[in-house]
Amino acid sequence: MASVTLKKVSKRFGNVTAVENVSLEIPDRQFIVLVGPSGCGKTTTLRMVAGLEEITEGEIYIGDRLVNDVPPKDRDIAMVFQNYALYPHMNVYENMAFALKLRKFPKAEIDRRVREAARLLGIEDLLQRKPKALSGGQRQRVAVGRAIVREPKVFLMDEPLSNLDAKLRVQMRAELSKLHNRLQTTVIYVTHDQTEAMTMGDRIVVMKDGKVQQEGAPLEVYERPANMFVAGFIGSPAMNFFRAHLDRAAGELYVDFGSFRLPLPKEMPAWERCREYVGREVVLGLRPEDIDDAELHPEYPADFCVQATVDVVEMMGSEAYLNASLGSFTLVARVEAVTTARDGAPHRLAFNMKKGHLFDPTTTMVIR
Amino acid sequence: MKATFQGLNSMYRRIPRKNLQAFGLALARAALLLAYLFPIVWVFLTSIKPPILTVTPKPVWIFQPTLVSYQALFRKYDFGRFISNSLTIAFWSTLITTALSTTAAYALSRHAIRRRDDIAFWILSTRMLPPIASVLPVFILMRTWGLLDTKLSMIVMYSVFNIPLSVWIIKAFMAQLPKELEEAALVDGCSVLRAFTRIALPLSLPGIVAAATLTFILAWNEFTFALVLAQMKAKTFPVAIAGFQAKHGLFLGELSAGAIVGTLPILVVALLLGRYIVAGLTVGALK
Repeated sequence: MASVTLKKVSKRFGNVTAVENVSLEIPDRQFIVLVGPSGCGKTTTLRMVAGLEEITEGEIYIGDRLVNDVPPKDRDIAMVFQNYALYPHMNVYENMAFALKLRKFPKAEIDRRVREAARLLGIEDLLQRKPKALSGGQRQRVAVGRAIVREPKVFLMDEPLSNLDAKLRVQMRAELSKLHNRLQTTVIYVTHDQTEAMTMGDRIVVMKDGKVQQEGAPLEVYERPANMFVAGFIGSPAMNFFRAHLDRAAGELYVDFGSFRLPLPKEMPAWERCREYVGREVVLGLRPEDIDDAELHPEYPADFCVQATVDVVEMMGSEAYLNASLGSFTLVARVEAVTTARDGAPHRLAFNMKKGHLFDPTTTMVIR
Repeated sequence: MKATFQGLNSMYRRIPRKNLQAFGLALARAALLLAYLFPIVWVFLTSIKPPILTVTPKPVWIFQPTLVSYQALFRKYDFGRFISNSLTIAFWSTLITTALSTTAAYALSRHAIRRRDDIAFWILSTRMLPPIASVLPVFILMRTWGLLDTKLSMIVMYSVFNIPLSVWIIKAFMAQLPKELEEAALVDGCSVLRAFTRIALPLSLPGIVAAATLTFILAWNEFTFALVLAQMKAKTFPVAIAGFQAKHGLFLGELSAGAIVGTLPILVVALLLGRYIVAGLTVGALK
């Protein structure tokens, strides 16, 4: 077990900067998730920690040891690859025992560790099988098993669930979290799936274009996004954005959309700073769950409610997503399944402006 | 007549279309096989004919088989020595070619060498020169080095000529191995060399075996260089067979027996390793 520290790490491939000036402190035993869209540099960052990619600039420490020039085999890390990378010419047992054999562990100890890991992952019956005779889920377990027999200081996981079907992914997500609770090892986990990031990580690092956009506890990132990218990337369905004009009338602040306007309540975290933006353009961000069905929520004052046209109602069972149009805007509202909204019909929606986020349209940074 | 035709017609209708197709295919296969096998069968029959029957104006199909030609082959011509020369040369040149081209192919398929594609093309381009064009310079070179009529001269030349093809076959095979396998090995505790020997090498074995088999066959059958470089001590079997002629014509029986003996090693190799050859040569053809 060990902490991992990245100090101003950059990686350039020719003229292309894949990772720029990334600094991270990952404490011992923490499960940290690097999340972002394809090409954001998250996998390159992970590969630099693994030693599979040379670092152009900066320093990487595992524990107190600077590992910039240490080959992967001497970093005491284990990695689970996206395509599992199981050795096709070895059976499951040999795959899991390979690293221990290389380290010249006694046979009995290898056997004990492999069998224990297999038991933990429920793959005891598969030990004599070759990887090609395994299903996707089983391969994934073997890949994890191969990593845990090593009892390494740090686990690196590169999108390990992305090749599984949706149901298995949900199941393995929970199992990996359980495994982490049990093994208490530092984990760096890379994914493009924000749900995985939100549910698995102790802390998440959102990346884009090789740069860290925000890092923090999942809920903190969800509730207090640093910029429009993070706000839009984290959360599903994604946050709604509305470009509007910030106005003041009779001591109150309003966001004016042209055909309608919504008041900014004083409880809004950005209220104080907002006053600087009076008379300027802003972007209002509101999550789908913060737009309610006004019929089901009579507690909303009238000036927080607007008539919208519902384009499509997506019934999810326990809730419904209303895809609606409001003047030139389109939005998604997440409402109770008992809603009476129908496709193509007008419906009143209530905006929970206390939960609204305001962004500067030029810098895309949150106004706070 | 009409009744017969109707009878045939109804019979035709009773045979399912699928069976007819299969029958047609089998017929085509048999015809193709016959076309390919006929020369070999003819050579084999000639090799076991009494010598006098090999030169009859019309082919004789019924005869008492004899091994006279085979006996002559080994007694009269010392054919064992030529076969042994050919085997030694083919074996060593295959070994050298395969060892060098495996490592070269690995480097070309894995490492970010500058102008890698140009190097790969240059290697292949050396194969574009017809071997006959370089016979004279090679002869002079070998004479200068005092290597004329030695097995070494041919081992060197065959290796030089076969490396390009071998590199390309193995390279195609290695390129399709996921890079992550070796990366997983590096993380698991392998050095680069060990990741190569423990992971890349065993997984590329079909490609390597295919390339080695092809190299062996090419070296075994090579004629041009063998003819120029070795006339006596190091003479190989294709050159020896070509010499089975007298003033008034060919010794067809002995020539055929020589051809059959010379085909046997290739036949054994192909039967044993055919599976690998197909896998190695069709890499990337199908997903």
